[in-house]
Amino acid sequence: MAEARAGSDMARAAPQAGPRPVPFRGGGFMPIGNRWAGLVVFVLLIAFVEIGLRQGWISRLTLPLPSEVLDTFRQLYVTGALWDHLIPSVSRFLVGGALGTLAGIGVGVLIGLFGLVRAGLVPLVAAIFPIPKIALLPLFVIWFGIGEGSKYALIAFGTFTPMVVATYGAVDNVDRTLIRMGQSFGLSWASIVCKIVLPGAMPGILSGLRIGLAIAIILLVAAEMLGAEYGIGAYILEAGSLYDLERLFAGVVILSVLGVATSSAIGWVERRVLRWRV
Amino acid sequence: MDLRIDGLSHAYGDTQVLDDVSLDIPAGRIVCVVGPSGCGKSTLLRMIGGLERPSAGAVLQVGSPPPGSLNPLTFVFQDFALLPWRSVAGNVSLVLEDHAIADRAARIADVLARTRLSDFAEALPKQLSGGMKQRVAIARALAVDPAVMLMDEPLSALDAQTRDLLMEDLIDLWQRERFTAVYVTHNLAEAVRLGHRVVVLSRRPGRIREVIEIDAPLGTRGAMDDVQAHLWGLMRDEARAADAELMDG
Repeated sequence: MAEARAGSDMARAAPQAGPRPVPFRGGGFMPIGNRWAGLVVFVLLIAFVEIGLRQGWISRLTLPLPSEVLDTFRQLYVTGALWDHLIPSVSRFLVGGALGTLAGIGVGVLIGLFGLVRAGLVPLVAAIFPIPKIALLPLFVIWFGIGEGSKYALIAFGTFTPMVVATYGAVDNVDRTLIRMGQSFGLSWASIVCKIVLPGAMPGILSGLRIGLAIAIILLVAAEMLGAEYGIGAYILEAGSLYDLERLFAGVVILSVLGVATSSAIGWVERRVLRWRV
Repeated sequence: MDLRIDGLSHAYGDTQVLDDVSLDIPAGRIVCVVGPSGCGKSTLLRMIGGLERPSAGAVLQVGSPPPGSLNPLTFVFQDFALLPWRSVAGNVSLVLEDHAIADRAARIADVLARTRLSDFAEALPKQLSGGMKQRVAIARALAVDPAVMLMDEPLSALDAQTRDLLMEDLIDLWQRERFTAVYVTHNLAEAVRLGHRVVVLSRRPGRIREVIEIDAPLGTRGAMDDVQAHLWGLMRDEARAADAELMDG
């Protein structure tokens, strides 16, 4: 606003004006953040809910007291129940996510490199991408049993499709002149793939990984809600069916922390692996 | 090793880009190819280097490449083609890793010294200026002991001053090592300063219009305005026609 007014002032006053500084109009459009801003938003929001509930201008029925959620969380930790639920969940997330990611990158690279594979598999991937994978859990239970196998399969399958799409898009975007360069120096096919195509596709693969692992967390909870004794999903489902909001929120907080941890782990990998980016 | 280009023709679909180009590239000399844009200079170079297959004709190697040459026909690209995730030394190392050579580190150090890049061995391409990047690309080409260097407008992406400096580097290098090169450019000043032989291609389809031999030794050449004027006279109308043309497809 201020700049706009200054601009029109200058236009009007132009004929008789003496020397004056050119108004600055180049600001904005550069999202440079503050690393503490995210934390401050969290703290303010939680403080708002806590004070609102204690003062009574938020009904006790709508939300649990944050301090009681914290206390529930402390009890979970003290009784050791936290690990009983967290360890199975994290191991399902890691195993399923790793299987899906590796298979997705592998198939994505093949689609990116070979025309026949692309022609054959891209329609198939497009067909399975929009299926809500959780709908297939009964199928996986029949195939892999009621135990861990079906949960690994579900999470892997959910991570697989976004990884395929991200990977072959990333391989397509690798600078062709670099590949021609590799050929012109007589590099072997394997060298070109390992030293030029894969590193060049890494930015796209890592941004696909963010989406893939977020989907993996969603499917992890869904699978545990549908059939597991232990796990964060089972814990949340149990709390929800008892309308125990403190425990429900404690479970949700664990999921959020898992999401933030995954995202910052990928961010850390990106900073290390993609240091070369301009 | 000499190269002989024998009746080379090429068409992309219905568009004839090269028509019956025959040319000798003798060892130890720099052959410059000039022509208006779209005359098929770069296509010709890619065919010489085996990156593209001609519709007719052939590129022949006469004699065998010097022993120890890891990649006889070696390109230097206009846009440098450096791997941005590898350091200067890593980019040179890339082209040696597929060969079982004992002294890879020594070889890398040697070419970096020859291109005055020793202090920047661990720098990433994003930290380098355009001229430095092209010197890295030249170091990488030297590392494989090429029989013929195929240079595709190597100075075109650089500013005028850097271009002059790098041209002096190239002349120095040639005086020390007498490498063979095919040097494609649209810059006539570069052609007359570096070329022992300047080949003028006509516009589409690319045919050889004239081959000019320049006998003056590389180190002592001036701007050679008369030769440049002659070349420009050959190309002027076609350059104007090329400029006025619409891109098709």
